[in-house]
Amino acid sequence: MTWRLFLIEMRHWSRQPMVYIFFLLFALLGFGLVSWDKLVVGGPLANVKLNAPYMVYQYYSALGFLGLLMVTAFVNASAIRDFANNTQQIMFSTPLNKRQYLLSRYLGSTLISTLPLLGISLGMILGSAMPWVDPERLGSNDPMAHAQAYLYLSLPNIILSAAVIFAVAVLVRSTTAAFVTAILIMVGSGVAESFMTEMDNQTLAALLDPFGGTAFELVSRYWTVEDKNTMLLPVSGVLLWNRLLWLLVAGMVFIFCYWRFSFTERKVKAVPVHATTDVQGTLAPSTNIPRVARRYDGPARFRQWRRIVWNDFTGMLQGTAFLLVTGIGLLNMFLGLAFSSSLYENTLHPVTYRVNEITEGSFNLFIMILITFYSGLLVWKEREPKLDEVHDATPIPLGIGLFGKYTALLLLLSLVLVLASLGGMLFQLVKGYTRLELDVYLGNYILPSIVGLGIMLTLAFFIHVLVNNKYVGYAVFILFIIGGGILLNALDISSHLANFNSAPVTEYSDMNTYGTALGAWGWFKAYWASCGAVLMALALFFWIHGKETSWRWRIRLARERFILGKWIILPGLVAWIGLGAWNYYNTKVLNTVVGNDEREEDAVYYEKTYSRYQGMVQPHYTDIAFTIDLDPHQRILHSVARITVKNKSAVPIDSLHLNMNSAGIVQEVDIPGASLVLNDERVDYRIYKLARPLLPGEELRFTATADHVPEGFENTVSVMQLNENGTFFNNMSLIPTIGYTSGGELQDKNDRRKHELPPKQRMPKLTDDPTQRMDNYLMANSDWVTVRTIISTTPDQIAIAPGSLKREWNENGKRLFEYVVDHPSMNFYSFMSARYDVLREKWIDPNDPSHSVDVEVYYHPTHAENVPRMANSIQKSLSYYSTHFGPYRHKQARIIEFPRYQTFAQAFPGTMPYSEGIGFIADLSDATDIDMVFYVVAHEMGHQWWAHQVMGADMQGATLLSESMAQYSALMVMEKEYGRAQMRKFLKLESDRYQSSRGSEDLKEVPLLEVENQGYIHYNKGSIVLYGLRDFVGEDSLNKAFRALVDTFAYAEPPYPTALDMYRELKKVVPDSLSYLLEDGFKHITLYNNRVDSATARTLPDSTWEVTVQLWGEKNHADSLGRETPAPMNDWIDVSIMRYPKFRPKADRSLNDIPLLQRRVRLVSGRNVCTFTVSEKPLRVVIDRDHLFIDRVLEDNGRKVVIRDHDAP
Amino acid sequence: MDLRISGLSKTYGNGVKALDNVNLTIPTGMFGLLGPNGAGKSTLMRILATLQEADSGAVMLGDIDVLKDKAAVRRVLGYLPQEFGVYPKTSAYRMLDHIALLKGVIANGERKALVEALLQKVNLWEHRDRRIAGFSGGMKQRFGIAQSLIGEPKLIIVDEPTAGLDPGERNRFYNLLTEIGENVVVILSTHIVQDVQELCSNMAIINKGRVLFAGAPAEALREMRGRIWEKSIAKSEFDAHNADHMVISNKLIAGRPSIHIHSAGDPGNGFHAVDPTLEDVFFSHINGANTIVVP
Repeated sequence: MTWRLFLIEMRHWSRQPMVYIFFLLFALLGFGLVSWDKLVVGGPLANVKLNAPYMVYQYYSALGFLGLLMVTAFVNASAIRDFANNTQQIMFSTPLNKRQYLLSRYLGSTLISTLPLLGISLGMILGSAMPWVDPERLGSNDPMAHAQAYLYLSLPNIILSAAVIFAVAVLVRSTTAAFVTAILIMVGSGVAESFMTEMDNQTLAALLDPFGGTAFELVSRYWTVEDKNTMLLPVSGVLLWNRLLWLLVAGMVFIFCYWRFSFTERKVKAVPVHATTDVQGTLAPSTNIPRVARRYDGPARFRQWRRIVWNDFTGMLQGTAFLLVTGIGLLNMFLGLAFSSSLYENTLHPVTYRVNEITEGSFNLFIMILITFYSGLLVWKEREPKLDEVHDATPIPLGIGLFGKYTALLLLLSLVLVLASLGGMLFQLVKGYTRLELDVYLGNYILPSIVGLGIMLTLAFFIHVLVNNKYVGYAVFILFIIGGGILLNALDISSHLANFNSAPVTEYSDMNTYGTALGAWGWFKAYWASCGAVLMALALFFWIHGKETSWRWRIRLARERFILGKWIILPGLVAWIGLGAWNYYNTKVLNTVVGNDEREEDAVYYEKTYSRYQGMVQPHYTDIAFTIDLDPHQRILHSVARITVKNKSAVPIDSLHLNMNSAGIVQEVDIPGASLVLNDERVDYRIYKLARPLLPGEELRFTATADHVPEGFENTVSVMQLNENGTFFNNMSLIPTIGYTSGGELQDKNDRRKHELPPKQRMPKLTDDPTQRMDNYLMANSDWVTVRTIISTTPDQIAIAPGSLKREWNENGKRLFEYVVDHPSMNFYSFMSARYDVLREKWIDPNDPSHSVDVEVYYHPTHAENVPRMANSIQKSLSYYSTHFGPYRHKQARIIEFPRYQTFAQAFPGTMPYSEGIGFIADLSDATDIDMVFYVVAHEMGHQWWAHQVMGADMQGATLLSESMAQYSALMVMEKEYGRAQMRKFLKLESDRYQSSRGSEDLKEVPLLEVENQGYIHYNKGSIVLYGLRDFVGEDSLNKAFRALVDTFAYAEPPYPTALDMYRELKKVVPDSLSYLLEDGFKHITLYNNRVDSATARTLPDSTWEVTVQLWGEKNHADSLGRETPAPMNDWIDVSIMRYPKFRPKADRSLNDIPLLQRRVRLVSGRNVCTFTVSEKPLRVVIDRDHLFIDRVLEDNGRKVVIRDHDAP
Repeated sequence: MDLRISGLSKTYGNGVKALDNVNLTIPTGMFGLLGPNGAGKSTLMRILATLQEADSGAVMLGDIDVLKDKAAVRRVLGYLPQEFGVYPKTSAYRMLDHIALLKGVIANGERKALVEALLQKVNLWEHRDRRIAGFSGGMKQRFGIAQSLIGEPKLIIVDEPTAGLDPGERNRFYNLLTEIGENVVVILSTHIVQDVQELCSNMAIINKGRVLFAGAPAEALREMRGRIWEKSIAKSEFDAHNADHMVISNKLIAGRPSIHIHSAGDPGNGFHAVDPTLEDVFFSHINGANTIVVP
C-alpha cells in the first residue's frame, strides 16, 4: 500500500512542470559554469580543471541553497496538499493508516526533489563537450565524483531539509512556516560557517553545519591543485560523521513528526455566535443615519493616504513573516558581528561603519525577502480576499492606494533598518564600545538604504502590477534581481547608467567620512529615483481597478489614464532622461568608463606592440626634486619633478622610452632638445629621441609634471589616492617609468591563451649571472636615488614626504613643508596629507647613546588607542635590527595613517603608511591574542633593512630577501616582546594559511628559494622556514649570516643580490648535520605527515613515569601542482610530553603549558619507538609542538597517554 | 433621478456576449433584475458600478455619464457585490470606518457617528469589535449593506444579496432595503423570483445578455393572465407532454411532477388554468423567449 501510494505521489510530481523547470535550471547552471567563463561560483581557480572533481563538489555544495528552495516547495506542497485542497476530510476517512500516508508522501516528494539536482552533472558533462571550451582547462569527467557529490554531499541535505520541512508543514499546516524553516536551516548553515574563522572551532563547526559545506571546506582545505583535479571525498572522518549525524537527525525528526501527526483535524477556535442577540435584529431599528459631509479635496486625499499607509503598515507589522524574517535577520547580524575577525584572528573594535557593513551584509537577503514577499502581498491585498469590488467602487483616486502601499512598505523597511541599527548599537555597548555615532548610523546606513530600497520597491510594484499574477510576479522579480547582475557582467557593462539602482560605492571612513564618491552617488540615485518614478507612474496606468484584466482593456485604460496623468509621468521621464544625459556627460564625456574586457585588450596590445623593447638599455633615475602643490579639499594635485637620469651602461643611449602612468593623473614630460617620435595614447607609451645620444656615465635632466583636476564626477573614482582628508599617493603616480615593463602584461595564464599570447614566466629564472641582476624588482631603470620634496597643503593638514623635515612655513594661505631624504634610497616613496595628531618619541640607540631617531606616529585624532603600541614596536624593532643587522640610515621612522579604502601597511624609506582599517581599530584587550598591530609595524620596520637596504634583483627569490626576511625580523622582535607561546600560535596560523592557499595557486608553486612574489610562500612559509632554522642553528649564528648580507649589499649599486647570495650565507652558518633543513626549507616544497601512533606510560618503582611513544615519520616533496613523492627521512623533531594542568593563580597559569619534557629526537621514515622518563603523570604526547615544520595533518600530531597497569605486560 | 441605459453591449474576450443591446430606464425605488445564472446580470451591475467597461452604449444617471465620469458615479454609489471579503483580522468597526474614509467622510467625529449609526442600523453594534471573517453569512451581508449605505448614495446596486441566507436573515435584509430604497435608485439582482415579487415596483428579466421583459411585476402578471395551465402527470408522461406543449416549468409536488405550460387558449388534455405567478412569468420568458412576443 505504501509502495502504491508512493508511486502515486511520484506520478503526481512527474506531471508537474516545476520538476522539469528546476532540472533545466540546474542543467543550465552546470553547463554555464563549465562552458562560459563569465559565470563563476566561488573564486576562479586558474589551475583547476573546469570539470574537476573539486568543482563538482563545489557546485553541488553551493547550488544546494537553490536546492533547498526547491525541496521546500515540493515537500511542503506534498505535506499540505490535502489541507490546501480541503480534501483532508475525504483523505483521512479512507482506510489509509498514518504510516502509509506519511511515508509515501515524504519519500515521494523527497525523492522527486533530489532529481533536478542531477541537472548539475548533466549540464557540466554537456558543457565539457562544447567545442569552444579551452581543452587545456578540461579534465576527464569523473563519474565517481559526480556520484559522490550527489549521494554524499547533496542527498543527505535533501533528506534532512525535507524531513524538517515536512514535519513543520504537516504539523503546523502553513506554507509560511515551512519557508521560514527553510530560511532557518540556511541561517544555521551560515552560522556554522562563521565559526570556521577561528582554527580551534573548526571541527565543531564542521560537524554542526547541517549541510556539510563547512565539513567539505575543512577536509578540502589543504587540497593542492593536483588534489582538486583528482581527489575523491574521504568516506571517513569529519565529513562522514557530519553526514551520519544529520541523517540521524533527519530520521529523528521524521519519527517525531510521525508521533505527533494525527488524522483528526486541528480544533478550529470557534467564536460562539449568540443567536439570541441576532434574532433581536428581525426588525431594523429605525436609527437615523446622520448626514455627513464628504470631501474630495487635497487634504482629504492626504488623510486617506495616511490611513492606507498606516493600515497596510500595521497589517504587515502584525504578520508572522515580518516578525520571523526580522528576528532571524537580527540573529544573523549578531552572529556576523560576534564572529568577524581580521588578520591573524585579531578582533577589531565594532566601529560604527563596520557594524553598518556587517549589518547590511547580514540583512540584505532578509530585506530582499521582505520586499519580494510584501510587494506581492500588498498589490493583491484587496483582490485576494475579494474586497476589490467594494474598494474600487469607492470614490478613491487610483493613485492613493498604490502610493499608500508603496509608502507603507518603505516605512516597514525603514523600521527594519532602525531596528537593525539599534541592534548594532546594543552590540557596540555589549562590547564596551561607547562611541555611538548616531549620525553615521543615519548617514551611512539608514538614509542611503532607504533611498536604495525606495527605488527597488518601484521595480517590485511595477513588476507585480504588470505581470498581474502574484507568483509569476515573485519569480520575475527574483529573476530580475539575480539575472540582471550576471547579464551586465557578461556584457562587460560597468556603467551605473545601465545597472538598475546602482551607484558608485561610497565607503565611510573615520578619516575621510563619506568620501569622494558621495556626489556621484547622489546623482546616480537621483537618476534611478526618477526612473523609479516613471515605473510607478506606469504601474499606476496599468493598475487593475475594477474587473477588467484583459490586456485589450488594460492598454485602453492605460492610454486614457496617461492622457489624464501625463503630468505625473512626463516630469519623471524628463528628469530621468535629463539626469541620464547629465550623468553620461560627467562619467563618459568628462571622464571615462573602462570595462574589464577593454583593459584586457589594452594589456594584450601593449605586450604585442612593445615587448620587443624589453631589456633595452635605458638611463637610470638618480635624483628627483619634487614640488607638489596639493589642494585636498578640491582634490587638486600639481606636481613638478625635476629629474636626473644617468646612463649607467657602457653604450650610448639615443632614445628614452617612457610609460606615462596615467590612471586619472595626467603626466607630461619636458625633455630639453628631445623629440617625441612615438606617442601611443592607448597605453600611454612614448618614445623620445634625444637631441644627442647620452654617453656612458653622462646625466640627463628633464622635468615631469603630474596633474589631476577633477572634472565633474566619475562612474568609479579613478584617483582614490586624493582625498579631502587622507591623501596618500606614491611616486609612481608622479613620474613615468622608464622602459617597457612586463608588469603591464596580461598575467592570467588562461586569459593569455585566449588571446594567443605565449605562456609567461612570472619572474625571470633565479641565476647568479651578474648581467641578469642589474634591475631590482621594485622599479626598472632606477637604483638608489636622492629625493627632495617641497609639498604644500591646506593649513589644517600636515603633509608628509620622505626624509627629514627641513622647514615648514605658510605662504599664500597654504602650509608648506620641505623634506630631504637623508640617505639615497629606493625610488619608492609616498606622499601624504591629512588632519593628524602626532605622537613623537625618540629612540636612543642602545649601542651608541649619542645616536637617536625620531619615532613618529601620525594618526586620526579618534584613533589614539593603539598608537603607543606602534611606537613601542618601532622602538623595539630599531633596537633589535640595528643591533643584529646593521645601522638604520634614516633620521626618522614614521607610521602614517591613511583611509581604509585599502587595507595594508607598506614600507617606504623611513615612512610606513598604515591603513585605518586594520591596526588603528584593532581591539587588543585580550592579552592572549596575537598583537597584530605590533607585528605589522615590526614587519614594516624589517623592510627598512630588507628591501630598503638589501634589495633583491628582479628575479625569482627576490621576495625571500624582502618579505620573508621582514617576517623573520618581526618574529624575532615579537618573540622578545610576547614570548614563545605567542609564536606557537602565530606559526600555527602561518602553516594553516600556507597550506590552505596552495590549492588556489594559479600558475605553479615553487620552493621558497625561487619564490615568485607569492604571498603564501614568502610570508607564511617564509615565517616557518626561517623561524625553524633559527631554532636549530641559534639566533646569533643565523643573524650573523643576515648581518653579512647587509654588510655586503646594503645600498650597493647593481648587480643586485639574489636568494642564492642569501643561501650561501646561510650555508656558512648551518652545520652539515643540519644541511637537510636548508635543502628541504629552501630548495624543495617539503611537507611532513608525521603522527603519534600510540603513547603509553607506566609508573616506575621510583615513582617516576616511563612513557613509550610510537611515532610515524613521513616526509614528502611536492611538485608545482602539489603531486607528492616520498623523501627519505632522518630528521630532528621535537617530542613533548605534556602535564596534567594544576590549579594555579592566574599569573602562573601558563606554567601548565610547559611540557614535563621536550626532547628533539631523530625520526626516520616509517615507524619509530622512543621511551622517556618523566617525573609526573603524563597527559599527552605532542610532536613538533612549536610548528617548526609544515605538517599536512595537525590533528594526529598529539595523542593522550594511555596509563598501563603495573602488572600489565 | 433616473438611470437610463441605452444600447449597452459587452462582449468578452472569449466571444461570450454578456450584454446585447440592453435598453432600460430605471426610476427611483426598488428595481429587480431577474435572470438565470450567467444571464449577464453581474456584468450589467459591474458596468453600472464602474468596475467594468462597456463596448458600446450609454448609461446616464441623471446628468452623470456613468461610462465616462466614473469618479462622479462613485461619489453617489453604494455597491454590494455578489461576493465580497474583507481584510483578515479586521473588526467590523474598523473596516466600516476605513471604507467611510475612502468614501470621503473625512471628519473624524462625523465618521464616528456615521459608523456607529450604521452598525446599529444593521444590528451589528454588539459585534462591532469582532473580526468580520468570523461572521455568519447574514451578518456579513448586513455589514455589506452597511458599507453600501455610507454617504447617502443615489444609486444602490446589490448583486444577489440573499444567496446563502436563511429565511430569517433574508427577511431582515429586505426590511432594511425597503427602508432605504424609497428615494434612490436601488437595483437588486437575483435569480429568485420571490424576491422581486416582494420588494420591487419595477423589474426586468434578462437572459443571455438580452432584456426579455421590462416593466412593473403587476403588469407582467396581467399579461399572463389566462395563459398558464397546470397539470399533474406521471414521470413517464413527461416527454410526451414536452413534445406537445410549451412546458415552462416542471416541479415536484408530493413526489409527482406538476408541469406548467404557456398557452393562449385551453390546451385540454387535463390541464387546468391557474393564476400566473411571477415565477410563471419568469420561466415563460426564459424558456419560451423565441415564441413569446413581448409587447
